[in-house]
Amino acid sequence: MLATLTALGWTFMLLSIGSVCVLTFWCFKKVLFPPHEEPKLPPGLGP
Amino acid sequence: MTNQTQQSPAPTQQWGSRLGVILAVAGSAVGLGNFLRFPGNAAENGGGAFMIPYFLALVLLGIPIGWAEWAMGRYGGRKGFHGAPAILGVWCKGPAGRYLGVLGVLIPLGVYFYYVLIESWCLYYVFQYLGGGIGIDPAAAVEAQVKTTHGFFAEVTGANANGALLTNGVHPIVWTFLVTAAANVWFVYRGLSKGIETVCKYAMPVMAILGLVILARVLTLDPPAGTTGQTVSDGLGFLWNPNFDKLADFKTWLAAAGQIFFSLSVGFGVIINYASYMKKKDDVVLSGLTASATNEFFEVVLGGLITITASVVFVGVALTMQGTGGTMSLGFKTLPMVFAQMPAGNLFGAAFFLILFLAAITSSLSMLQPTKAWLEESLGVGAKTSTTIVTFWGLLGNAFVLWHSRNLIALDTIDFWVGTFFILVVAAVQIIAFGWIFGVDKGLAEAHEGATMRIPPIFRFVIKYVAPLYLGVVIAGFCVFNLPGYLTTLFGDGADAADARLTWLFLLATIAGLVAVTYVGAGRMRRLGMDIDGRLPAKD
Repeated sequence: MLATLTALGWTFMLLSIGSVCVLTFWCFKKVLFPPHEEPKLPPGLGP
Repeated sequence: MTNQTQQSPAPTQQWGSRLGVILAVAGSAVGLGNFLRFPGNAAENGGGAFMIPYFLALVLLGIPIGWAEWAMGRYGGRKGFHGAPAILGVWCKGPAGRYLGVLGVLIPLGVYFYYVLIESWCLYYVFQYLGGGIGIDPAAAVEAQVKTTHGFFAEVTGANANGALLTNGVHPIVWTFLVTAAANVWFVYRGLSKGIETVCKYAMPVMAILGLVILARVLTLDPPAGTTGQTVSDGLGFLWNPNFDKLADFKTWLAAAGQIFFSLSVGFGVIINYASYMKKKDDVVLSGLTASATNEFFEVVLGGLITITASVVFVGVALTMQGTGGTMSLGFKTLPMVFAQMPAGNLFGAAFFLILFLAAITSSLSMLQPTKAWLEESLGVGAKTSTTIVTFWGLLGNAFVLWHSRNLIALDTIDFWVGTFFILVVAAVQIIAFGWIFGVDKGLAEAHEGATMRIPPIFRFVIKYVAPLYLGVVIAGFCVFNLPGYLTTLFGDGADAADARLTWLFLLATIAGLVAVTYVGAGRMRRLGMDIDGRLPAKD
């Protein structure tokens, strides 16, 4: 029953934790630092 | 019908910020199950291999139903509705959805009946650890330690007899419960932005930091002299080494779907209420995904690395396996033995139970709000009156569960029927309403209003076909494997059956009250000229 962490165990653990961390980081980056949007000018205005 | 106007039947509240609503939803989702139920479930169901059905359920069930619920809530809010009955009435285009939606108010209220008690246990354990621990002698034989933790838990919960906490003097846990309940009521009364959002904005980062500190400590543990001799690698191996044979067992898939489902709080009646306070141009797609991702961080990263690992290192596999049988067992019976063995164990014990308390209070705060909102819009009462009613309703339920504490039958009965079975029903209603009655294309177009990211096109197929089918299989499996045991208890003989039946009577009275409010509310909204059957497009 008891075995030290195997290579497959490492793989599943790192993939699971890594994917969750990447997703969380990506989401919060998009929420906290949204891409800057240029204000839309009415037709006929602007350079 | 066409001359109906769209006005709000109650004063409208608003979220303070986008981050605030995300943290509030994530706070509602992150609870004891993330730290205690997930690792136990994973260890019992194939370890690392469990993550295959787990992530499939996340992508095919949890996230799409969550997106649907966010979109449904915001759309309902634009029509001036904030309660699940009214919003589901709109999406299902009639009274069937409205009355099924009563479950969307019953679930958070019913779960609140017992959840605040569990929350107060966590706080009580914090105080105990700050005051020197719960009386476990680390040098004693394992059997003696087990006896101490089980005895302490039974004393705190009153599991030995009904009324045990109130007869022969009032047990101190009752005062802890009153403080916890008062805090809940106060924050809910302060409203969405000043109450719930503020608490979550502080509690979630504190929880994450405390969790990471404990994680760092757990991952650097040396096998303590005189204990099991097992290492951190053994603990991680116990949880993460994959056993692929388990994937052939249907129960593994059921456990994974159940874990995702209940962990994300979809179908709980909270997201639909919270999202109803958002504006048309507020994003729900990225917000929903971020709330889910945050919940997963607490579950997989912190829950998946801390509890089982520490337990295996300090008390061994046998005792850890006893603890994985249930949320309560691992948290309140096994881990206290770990803290008794651990250097500075009282400090880590207090920190751990503080995390559980914060996880619990950010969840319980979300449980009163849907009922409060529903009372306001149905009866046309203000915040003071609705808070007063919901406070007494909640306290009545708390008192019922507190008194009927023997073997925790009342708690377990409500948890199974309201906190588990009805959630599946509400989620099924939601995904069918979104994908089939309202229409998946129209629903996705609604979700994309103001969205800062698009839902990938494959999810059109997932929402319309895969999620309802997957959910149907989960419900069928649940009925085959889980329901019979509870029905046997309910219709059996003996004291447990009597307590279960009494609990059901209490639940039926609660349901009757909510249905009555819904009936009165529908009449009132109709008189106000509101579009309760979803015949008109929503306003901006």
